[in-house]
Amino acid sequence: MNCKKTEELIFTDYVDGNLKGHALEELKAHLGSCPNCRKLAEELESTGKLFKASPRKKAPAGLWYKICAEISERPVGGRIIEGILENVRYHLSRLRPAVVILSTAVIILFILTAVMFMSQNNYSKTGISQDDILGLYYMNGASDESEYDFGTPAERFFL
Amino acid sequence: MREIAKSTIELAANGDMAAFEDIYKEFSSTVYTLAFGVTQNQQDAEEATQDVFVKIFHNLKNFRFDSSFSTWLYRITMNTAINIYRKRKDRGSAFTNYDELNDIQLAAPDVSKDQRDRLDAAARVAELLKNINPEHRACIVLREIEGLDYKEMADVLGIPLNTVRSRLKRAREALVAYCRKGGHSS
Repeated sequence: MNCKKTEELIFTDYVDGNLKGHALEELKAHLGSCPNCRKLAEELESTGKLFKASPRKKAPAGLWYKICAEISERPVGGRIIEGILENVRYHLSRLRPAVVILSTAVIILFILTAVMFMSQNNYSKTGISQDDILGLYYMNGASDESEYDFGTPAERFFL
Repeated sequence: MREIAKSTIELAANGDMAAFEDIYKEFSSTVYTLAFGVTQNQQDAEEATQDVFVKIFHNLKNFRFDSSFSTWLYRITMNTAINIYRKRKDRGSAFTNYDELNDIQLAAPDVSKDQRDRLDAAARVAELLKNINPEHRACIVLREIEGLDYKEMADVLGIPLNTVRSRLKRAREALVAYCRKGGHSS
């Protein structure tokens, strides 16, 4: 095991007690022969002990009464909106990948629908149907193979 | 993570303040400790704790027990504390002055050697935490103070396991770098 891999494990799984069996033995063997990695492990263990020695805090006296007062004072509308927002936030963060995929699909669908709607709208504004335009093209001697342009934004973009 | 009886949660969800007080008694210390860990400011930690319990009270009706109550509570606590810290930081406010606070507590005549050591540890922890960003601080307090495992941390913070691991690594790298530069850890 090299120092880079060992350091990676020391910073996480080793100090958090997640390493077991062969992996742990291998890391300990490396620590036995590498003073730098050993020093790092000791520093992290010492920091961990400091956190454990630090006392848990008690919520300030009287806070319960402030909470009760706020609960009884806050308007119902505010509670409902806040509740909805809190739930949306909670569920969005739990379903993040699925939500991203779904939102992307919805946005793409929306854009495609909007483009199609705009293109149809262009025909309706002139009061001339697509068949009328095709008829005019053929009357003017255009063949099936020739390119024609209905003047829609999508066509202007692609043709 | 500690849990509380489902019946207590259901009673509180129906507006039973005695049941809600049981929840407060069970978790207020945890919420305040976590909030203080993130904000490093007594006033902010108090504000966050108040906000968290008010939010919980109003949202208990919507709690569906599809995750544990603790996970839900820790999650609201972390989000609230980080938001309050950010707002406070934007307004340019400082952390709690721990040295001053400690001097006052240590000056008390009945402080034992054990209490003195614990207060000293708390001051050192505060100094270390001030040197990392709030997301990393959240990871460190959940792991080192609350003792959550990686999976629980991922659920609470709403991030993948690998992100938990990398945040912990970066946070600890920063702590070690700070100690090596002259800050103290032991």
